[in-house]
Amino acid sequence: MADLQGVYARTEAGVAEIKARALDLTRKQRNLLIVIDGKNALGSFVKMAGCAPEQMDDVFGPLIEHGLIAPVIGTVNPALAQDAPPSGVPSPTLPPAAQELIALAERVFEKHAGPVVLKLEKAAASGADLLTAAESAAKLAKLTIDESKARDFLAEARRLMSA
Amino acid sequence: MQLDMITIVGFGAVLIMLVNLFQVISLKSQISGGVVGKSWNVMILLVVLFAAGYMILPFLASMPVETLRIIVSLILFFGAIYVLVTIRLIYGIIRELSS
Repeated sequence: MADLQGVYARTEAGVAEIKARALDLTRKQRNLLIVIDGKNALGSFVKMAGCAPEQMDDVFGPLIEHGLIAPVIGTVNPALAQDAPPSGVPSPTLPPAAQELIALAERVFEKHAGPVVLKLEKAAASGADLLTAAESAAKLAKLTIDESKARDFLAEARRLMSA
Repeated sequence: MQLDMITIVGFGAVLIMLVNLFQVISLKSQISGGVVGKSWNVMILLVVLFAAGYMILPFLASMPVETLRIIVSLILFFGAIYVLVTIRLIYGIIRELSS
């Protein structure tokens, strides 16, 4: 059972999976993998991952099994900590606003979101302005993914940033 | 087959066109749609046509003149379309990046 009070972070394998999409994760699992930040309790991501609390086991379980996320030491119950992969090293986390943008990109562009997510992650990691990064990512999407989806993404990103 | 300058240049052209074909198909996975994606499918088709057309280059010497004229005119025609598609694509990218 998922410990909704536990705090989890992406492992190096989790970061690699976001870019590589090597595993057959569902959209909810992928959303959760993207928004998990190593600071907030798992329960706080229920809405962002797009699932009900009772569905969290199905979404959360495979991420742990594949070693994509790991409990942050000292914040979770010992049983879950034992299940964590030995190689699971939490990765540097992104600001919540950047994570929301990335989750939005995942929802809008689905399996083609990779380059947009990468661009947003780089911008967030370098401390660049997120709205500018979103506009730049929308241009990339308009050129290489889908023009109407790019417009939807930019409109929603602007709404998120102004909120 | 006589190994003269024309044959060597012909083989070179085929080789380069095969590299082009490999690259244009490889890049397709990164361009699922959008402004570039729309033109990309046309470009793939044109490069496939060019690659096929270039394959006959080493055998030019043994072809009838009338066949050669048809092949050369087709290559020139599709070459013009390729340039048109490329220019429109570059214009689209510039317009998008400057908006």
